[in-house]
Amino acid sequence: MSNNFPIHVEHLCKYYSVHQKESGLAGSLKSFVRRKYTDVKAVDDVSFTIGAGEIVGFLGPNGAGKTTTLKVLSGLLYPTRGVARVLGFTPSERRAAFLRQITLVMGQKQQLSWDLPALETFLVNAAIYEIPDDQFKKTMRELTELLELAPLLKKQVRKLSLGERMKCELAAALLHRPQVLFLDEPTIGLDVTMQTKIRQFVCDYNERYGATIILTSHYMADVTALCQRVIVIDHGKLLYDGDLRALAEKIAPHKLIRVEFSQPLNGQRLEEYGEVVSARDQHAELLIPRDATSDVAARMLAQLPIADVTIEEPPIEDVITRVFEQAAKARAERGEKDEDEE
Amino acid sequence: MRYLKLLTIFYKNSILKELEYRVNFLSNAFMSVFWLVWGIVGVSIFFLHRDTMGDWTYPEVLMVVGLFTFFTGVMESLLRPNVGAVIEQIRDGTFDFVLTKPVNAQFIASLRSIVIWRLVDVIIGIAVIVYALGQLHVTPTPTQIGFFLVMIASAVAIVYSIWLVMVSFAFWFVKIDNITELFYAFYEAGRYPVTIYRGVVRVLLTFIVPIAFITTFPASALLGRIDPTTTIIGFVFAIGSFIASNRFWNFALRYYSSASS
Amino acid sequence: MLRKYSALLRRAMGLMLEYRASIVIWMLTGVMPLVMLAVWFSLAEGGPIAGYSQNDFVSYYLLMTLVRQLTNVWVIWELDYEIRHGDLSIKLLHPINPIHEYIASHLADKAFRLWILVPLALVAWLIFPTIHYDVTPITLTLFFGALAAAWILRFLSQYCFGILAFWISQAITLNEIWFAGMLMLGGVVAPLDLFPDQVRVIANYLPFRFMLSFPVEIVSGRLTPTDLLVGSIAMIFWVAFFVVLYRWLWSRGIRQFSAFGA
Repeated sequence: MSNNFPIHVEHLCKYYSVHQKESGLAGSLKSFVRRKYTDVKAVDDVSFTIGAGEIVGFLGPNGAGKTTTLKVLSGLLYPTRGVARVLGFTPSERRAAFLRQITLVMGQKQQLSWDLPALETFLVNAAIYEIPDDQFKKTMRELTELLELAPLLKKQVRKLSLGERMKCELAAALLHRPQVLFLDEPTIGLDVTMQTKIRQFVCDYNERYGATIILTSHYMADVTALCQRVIVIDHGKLLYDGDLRALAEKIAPHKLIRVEFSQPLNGQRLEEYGEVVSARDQHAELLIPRDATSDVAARMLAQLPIADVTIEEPPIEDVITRVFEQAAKARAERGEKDEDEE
Repeated sequence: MRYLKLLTIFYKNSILKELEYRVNFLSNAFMSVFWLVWGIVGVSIFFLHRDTMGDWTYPEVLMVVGLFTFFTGVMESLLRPNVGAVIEQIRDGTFDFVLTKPVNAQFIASLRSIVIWRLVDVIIGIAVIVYALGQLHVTPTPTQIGFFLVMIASAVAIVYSIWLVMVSFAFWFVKIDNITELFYAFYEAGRYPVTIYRGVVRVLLTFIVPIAFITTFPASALLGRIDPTTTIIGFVFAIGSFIASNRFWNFALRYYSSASS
Repeated sequence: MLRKYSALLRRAMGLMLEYRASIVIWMLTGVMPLVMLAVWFSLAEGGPIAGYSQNDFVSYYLLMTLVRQLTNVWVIWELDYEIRHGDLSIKLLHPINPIHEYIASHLADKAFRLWILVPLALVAWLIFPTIHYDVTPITLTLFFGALAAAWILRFLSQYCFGILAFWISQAITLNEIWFAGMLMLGGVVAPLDLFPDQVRVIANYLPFRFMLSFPVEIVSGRLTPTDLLVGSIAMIFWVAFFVVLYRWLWSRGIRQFSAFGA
């Protein structure tokens, strides 16, 4: 079964015990005398499976539990409860055979030695991962080409730009051709061109090696470009797991109708068809309740001088925001406070 | 074999890194000599007023000073840049990269780098030991040298174990980056033979913070002041601490919380 | 200025409480006087050394431990770091000399330490009820004055070494030598009375004595009124000297900093 699913997670929980501190000097003194501890549920009963060669996007606001899940899956953290299996291994045992097949890339941490050229770190990793010489050379050639590393390899890392450093970090993390990639905010802080390059590289790597990839990112563009499937987490709970487009259909109650008129409107009011997002000259955009879309479109075609009409899903960013708003509302109705830490 | 190859690469890289900061060599060498002279002056003050310190004559105490310098070098060149650096790595989360490598984490964490400049202390320490032997007009027998080497090896294992345990606490308490300084403060007591200390203090320095095993016992071995039983006890104690520290480290690893954004 | 200080102190106290475990560890690292006490105590088993009985050593070193704890200084590590990483430029934008922020955090640290040291001192007294000090209104006043002066000297001299980081990368190493000098000639390794006469004569006028030893000597009852007077004058001289040195170095350093940036 684990052969079919490189990543298999069942009822996974990771709680942290955190001590509470009230603000100010009085608060400090108080917690100095007596400390109160509470459990923070970073990951709370999450289950999913990911198939070989899939690229899955993890979505969720800050502190939702995305990074914690990745760290449990890469063996850094012991789960509090539940099962996590990656390539048939239990990650927290950190078997060498397991670690050789995975990698974890974190946009905010670096493994390259600051004072040495990146190539030196690559050589260290080649030794650590026991990469045979010929394979190392071949992989280096491929990575150098894909990431345009040639001019960077001999420079000391501290002299590289942020984007150049990230490219070298990726290369260092992928030298051993891992089968499973955990990418945590790999494009953070990079400019748009560099983001696109990294994205393209991830896509190429996935195609070339059939690697399974989980990606978290604040940039929706990363997710929409790379992932068909997304997993949405908020407050440690899994909210959605499935097709990115289906998410929009399921969550967004509206569709966007974009119309172009053949002649300026004379007096007809658009408000009666739906919520007007914009109306200028001969263009207009309206939000129509999902169920009523076809009716309204038909009515508009019949009643208005329409040259062209398109029906679209609203932007995915808006959809995601709506998912989190709904989750927060649901929690509020259940009487939970918004921040679990409180 | 594979680990040997790794070590070669590790040390090659850290020497390359060290060469970037060449000024450090001169200042380190200067400070090593300075602190050695400081230590000898300190000991001389005792001998202004007394002929022996806890039954040890001046050249014999010099040998303890030599061992003190020797182990300062061992700690500064091998322990602080490795085990010592783990605390910082835990704090900024880069310890992740140690844990995700398919090599024993303790191996990487303990032997990844070396500060070659501080080996100056090791060399000076040996020089002082040899000088003290000359002053004593003593040539150690092969047995004594054998005991000495066993005690040195035990002392290295004990020092290493102490550092590993100290650092393991950082998995729970992140803000204890100065805990290694604490060890140094107690290590100061190792400048003098442990026989100078009385009662509770001596027990403390022998078994709780086992400084005695680090400087006094190897010196005793070389001077023939130690019986085989004590050597064996020292050796067993070293193996025991090594195993215990390894257990504790592995236990502490479970509490790694991987700092992040 | 008073309002600024109370704000700085409040923040510093908050930080100290946040780092309390760390401070307790730092306090424990100040055990060296106690190690020296253990050594001298057993050396004095055979009879007094240069007029110091076992009980005199206990009295001397317990107070030395306290003085060392209360005059402890670490400003060079912060100053050196902030100069080399350029963080100092942010502080220079504030309309207050950065030294005040450092002073505030040191004062907060001392308040925290006192809170722990007072009960410990009482315990020490219970364990060694025979310890003896020459306590009169005059010596007590002088003691507190000398204690404050000791802290000022340790702080300002270290600050001056820290300012050197504007020009050189080894400022901390230089300070280490200074610190070693203090341990030796400031009466930690041995009370100054135990040094050979030629050394002692010079050490009596060096700044190291006033960074640790002098307050302890004042209540030891071994100083004549002339010694007290001469010592106090030398102490005041050194405080003035380091105030002037600090001002001079700081103005030069700032000029260097703004000329070359960080």
